[in-house]
Amino acid sequence: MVDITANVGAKLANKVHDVSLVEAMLRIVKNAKGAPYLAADYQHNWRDATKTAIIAFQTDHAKAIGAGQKGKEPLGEVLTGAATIAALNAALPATHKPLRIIPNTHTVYLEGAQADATASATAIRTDTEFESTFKSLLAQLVDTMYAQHKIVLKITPTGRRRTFAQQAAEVKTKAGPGESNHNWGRASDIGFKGFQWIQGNGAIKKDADWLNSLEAVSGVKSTQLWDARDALAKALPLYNLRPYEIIHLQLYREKTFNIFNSLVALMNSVGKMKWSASPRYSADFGLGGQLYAVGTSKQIWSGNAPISKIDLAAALNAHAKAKKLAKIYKVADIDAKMVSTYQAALKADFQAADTNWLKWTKVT
Amino acid sequence: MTYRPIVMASGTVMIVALMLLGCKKQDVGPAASASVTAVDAGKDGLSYHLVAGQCANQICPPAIELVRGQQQLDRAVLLFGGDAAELRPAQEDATLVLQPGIAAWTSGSDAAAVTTAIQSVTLEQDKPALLAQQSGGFEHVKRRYDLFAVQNGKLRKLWSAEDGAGPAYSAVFVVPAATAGAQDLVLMRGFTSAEAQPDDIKLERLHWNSASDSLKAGTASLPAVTAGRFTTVAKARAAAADGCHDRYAVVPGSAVGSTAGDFALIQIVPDQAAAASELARPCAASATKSLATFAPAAARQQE
Repeated sequence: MVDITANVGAKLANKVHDVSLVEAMLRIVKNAKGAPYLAADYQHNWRDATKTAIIAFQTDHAKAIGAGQKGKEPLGEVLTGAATIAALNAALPATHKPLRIIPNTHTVYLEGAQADATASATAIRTDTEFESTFKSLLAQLVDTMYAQHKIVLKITPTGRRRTFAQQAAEVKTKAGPGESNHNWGRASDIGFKGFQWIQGNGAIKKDADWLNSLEAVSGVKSTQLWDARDALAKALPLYNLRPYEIIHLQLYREKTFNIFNSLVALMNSVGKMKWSASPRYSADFGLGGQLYAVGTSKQIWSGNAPISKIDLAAALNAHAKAKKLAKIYKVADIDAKMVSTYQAALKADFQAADTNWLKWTKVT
Repeated sequence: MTYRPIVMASGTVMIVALMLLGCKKQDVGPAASASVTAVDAGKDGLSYHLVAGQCANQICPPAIELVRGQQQLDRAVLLFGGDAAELRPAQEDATLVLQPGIAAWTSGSDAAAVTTAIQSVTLEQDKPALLAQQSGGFEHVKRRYDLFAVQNGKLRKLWSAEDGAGPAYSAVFVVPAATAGAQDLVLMRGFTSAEAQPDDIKLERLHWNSASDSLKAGTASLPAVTAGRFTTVAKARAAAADGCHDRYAVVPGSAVGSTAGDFALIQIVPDQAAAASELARPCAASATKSLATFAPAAARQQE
């Protein structure tokens, strides 16, 4: 049975979540004529309509509540743990139980199922595509969100680890392959898919990962739920990317590392070339000399790194000189096949990084 | 202006007093900051300036200043800020859909960069407003829009909007209003579901209503360039992944006039000139582009 945290009534505490809950219940529960006790959509501020609806309900349920009698709740007031809230709970249809609301928020919702929360956490714990510390914290978040608020968090279909190929296919991001925390199994998009909340008119709405339906009604209300998730995430800690994205959580705080230098550090460890992210990206073509600009992550991954024939000739010549080889390369010697070979070699280092994603460490 | 006590004839004192009064009347605020670009803000020599912002906690949002002459009359700080204040000409930023001739400015660097652009919007005669557009974020990109006007010598924010949560996208187009010489805004909001569903795109036309002193929202339709019709969403999305159509959306064919129950790959544009430009843009892919009108369901219901 859901209870209010403080009393509701004229000049009483009237906390926003308590008023929301009482009003929502009065909106859901119908009188003998089949009309909701609260004629208007539920909201979070005490008002005359709230009092009117409470009195009407208490009057219709006088035998059980006895409002206005000595030792009972005054008419028009709902006290914590008292008869009115108990009667409201009893009067709720089965479809609208059990109700819940997070303190200091405005959205009444149906509790999620324990089995769903367990399944979500288990799926994370057994996912081999997450780094171990991250997945442990993420699973804890799912557990805690359910324990405290009876809300089930679920990862979105594309919210797990993304391979470099999957990252390359993402269009609504600036992050190319190797430039997303998702590529390293240290980030997740985890939201509220299946969350059932009570609309203003008392009807149940099942929402999507990003609480799109609730956001369309009220950005304030949806943000309150994200705030509740992020308050728990912060304690673990897991970090979000607000204000730019609300669903994403990652292992490291964004400003504590450089994603590009971290990719380069890994490639320098597992690849065959020497890399730098300044300028982004440059490489020595595996020839051991100076680094040359070789394009963006997306270009390199697509196999179309914009290799300059002048640069490649210079790199080859420097290599030949270092090895005391007689061969001298002219720019005209750099044909399409040679360029293609080095484009593939550049991509191969990215592929090596993708394969060795677990070895990634953050670098400033 | 400083006052120096001077002993002189009363007439001269009167003249000096009047001069002092005149100087004081023009001291209406701090000096305007150095701006990277400015837009006319109507009569009385007013202009909107885009200026570098001040930093707090490594976030440095740019600001809009209302300026007359060299004086800043008002200042409004935008929401998104890079990790450095300096504004520099932006490299091509595909995340902001800007109409031709609108310059963009970047502050901050790498993953912390934010792009900002401003343009004039003539809400009605003698009421030039300012549309500020911003794009920020790296892993996940978000856009936001703020519309300012001048009221009583101060900046007044008339309207704001931003991308919704998730795989959402948006653009704001400035288009001619029904009233000659005036302009409306059309806000396009899209959402790409991860499932095999077409994009959900909504258009909202915002028109200035002087009687209510506010923007009024209504339905809208816009030109669209189509790059093929497909029997399934999956086929349309595959066609969009050809490296030439990644700005295109997959919509129900009915939204662009088809009755075949198919799906279309489209790019919504603000006007015929933009459509012509997109039609002429070369693509190695084989899809033939054509012109259509995009009308979301709400607009079609009103017809």
